[in-house]
Amino acid sequence: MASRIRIKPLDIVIVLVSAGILAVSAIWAYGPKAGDAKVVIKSQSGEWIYPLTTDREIKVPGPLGDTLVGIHGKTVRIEDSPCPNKTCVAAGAINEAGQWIACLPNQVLVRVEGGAENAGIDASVY
Amino acid sequence: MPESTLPSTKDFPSAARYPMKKSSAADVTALLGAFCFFLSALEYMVPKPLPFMRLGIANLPILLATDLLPLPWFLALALVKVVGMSVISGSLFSYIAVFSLAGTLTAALTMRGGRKLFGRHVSAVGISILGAMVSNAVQIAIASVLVFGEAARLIAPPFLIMGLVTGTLLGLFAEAFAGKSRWYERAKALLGGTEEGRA
Amino acid sequence: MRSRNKERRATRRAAWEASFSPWTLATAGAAISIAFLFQRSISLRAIMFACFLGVAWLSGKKISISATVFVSLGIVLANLLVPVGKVLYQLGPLVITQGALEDGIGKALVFEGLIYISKASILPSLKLPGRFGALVASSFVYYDRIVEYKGSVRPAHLIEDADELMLGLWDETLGTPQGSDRGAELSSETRRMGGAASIALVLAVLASYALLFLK
Repeated sequence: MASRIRIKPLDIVIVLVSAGILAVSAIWAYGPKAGDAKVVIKSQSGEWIYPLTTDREIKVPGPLGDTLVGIHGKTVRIEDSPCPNKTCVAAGAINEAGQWIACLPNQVLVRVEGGAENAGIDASVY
Repeated sequence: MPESTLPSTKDFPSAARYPMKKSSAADVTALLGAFCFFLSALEYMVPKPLPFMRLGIANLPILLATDLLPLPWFLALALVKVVGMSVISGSLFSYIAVFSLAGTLTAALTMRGGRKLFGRHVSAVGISILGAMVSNAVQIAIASVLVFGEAARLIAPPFLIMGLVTGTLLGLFAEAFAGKSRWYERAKALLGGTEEGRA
Repeated sequence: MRSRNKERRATRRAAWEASFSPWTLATAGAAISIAFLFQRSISLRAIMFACFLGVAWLSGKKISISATVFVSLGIVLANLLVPVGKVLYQLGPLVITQGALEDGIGKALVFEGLIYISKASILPSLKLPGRFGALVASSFVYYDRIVEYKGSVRPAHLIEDADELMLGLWDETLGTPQGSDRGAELSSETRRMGGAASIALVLAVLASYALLFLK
């Protein structure tokens, strides 16, 4: 019996669709996205890095005591600090790369780095 | 045959104790299952950067069975492959078995579903690619939860490319084999094939 | 040197298989694996992993330390790529953070640990129950025949040669078991394990669950 490999039109469609999915996956895997945003916390005792996407509470030790940093709903804020004026708490929440909050008395700096500069657009393909 | 490096069932004394009932579907399933083991052993010898994520060569008998075996036996074949290999390699309680089960079952169900959906408008190539892509995507998802965390997305593109390539190659081989093989012809005559395969 | 290692391994393997009944060993292994999965402490996980490695060696199964190290490094590295927690060290672009490091080490321990406990507790003589077990066993028999095939399968004529092989297997009649074989088979399944082996298994299972309550 002669071997005949019959390729059907739908096979080609499946190959093309798969190639398309591959391209999308490459962009998703290697391109920058808002999910890359990190919270970088610096104090006397060291440096901490956390993803902005996962909620958590972090106690940052400083000369006056512990500053409480909270990451919730993809934003980060200083929730409490042993400083006299609490201006850092009043500064509110940040979520975009380049923004920062500082508690100067307790020497704690909270910064958002990475991810898309403009959180409104994740990727553009032309 | 590279027999010295492959495990032998002389190590499995219980294997020879079972009578072979002449039930056609069971015989075909058992024979194809044996080839799954053989191809798995061959695949094991190919060095891979991620040793627990399968190439998918061992799914070739399952691809051939898509048009051959009734659904219950088809699913039994997939399970025979997973459980049999897990016992041979002693990996039954490890994450390797989890990847094997997820990868094999999704590939099998996708291939069967693809055949049911597209009937004769698609060849073994398309079915095989569908099975490989879905199976690899599922394995990446499991890897991200169990092993690699978010970094799993970095291996997604090369793994999917591999799925597309091996899926295409396996599909081409399966098409050629099904067209040429006398064994396949006899098995199909014996079993009557599947509804979709007959169309 | 290599063949001497192989011999020693075969001796260990024979002794291990003679000491346990397949189902009891597999059940103990499954129970221990579950306890291992629930173990949260990294140091206790590491201790259990070391025990599993030792037991797998005792069982005469093949162990590849290099593969274990390579895979574990890969897992740890992948987890380090997403920094979490206190920065411990910076190696160029790679930031090593405490949380990510612990996550990676924990996952690597679980991944490799399960492989070793599984290797030690699954005996090849494990008979699976019911019709499914019979199907798997039939597959094993066919597999044996494939490995023993004396004909050639040439890459250039892959389809024809593979077809020959399959037709040959298909036309073979696999016989029914001999009476005496059956007897030996049943007696091996219902063989009583030695007292020491039974005690060892019970202690191992209890210990793995007791560790869950340690902090």
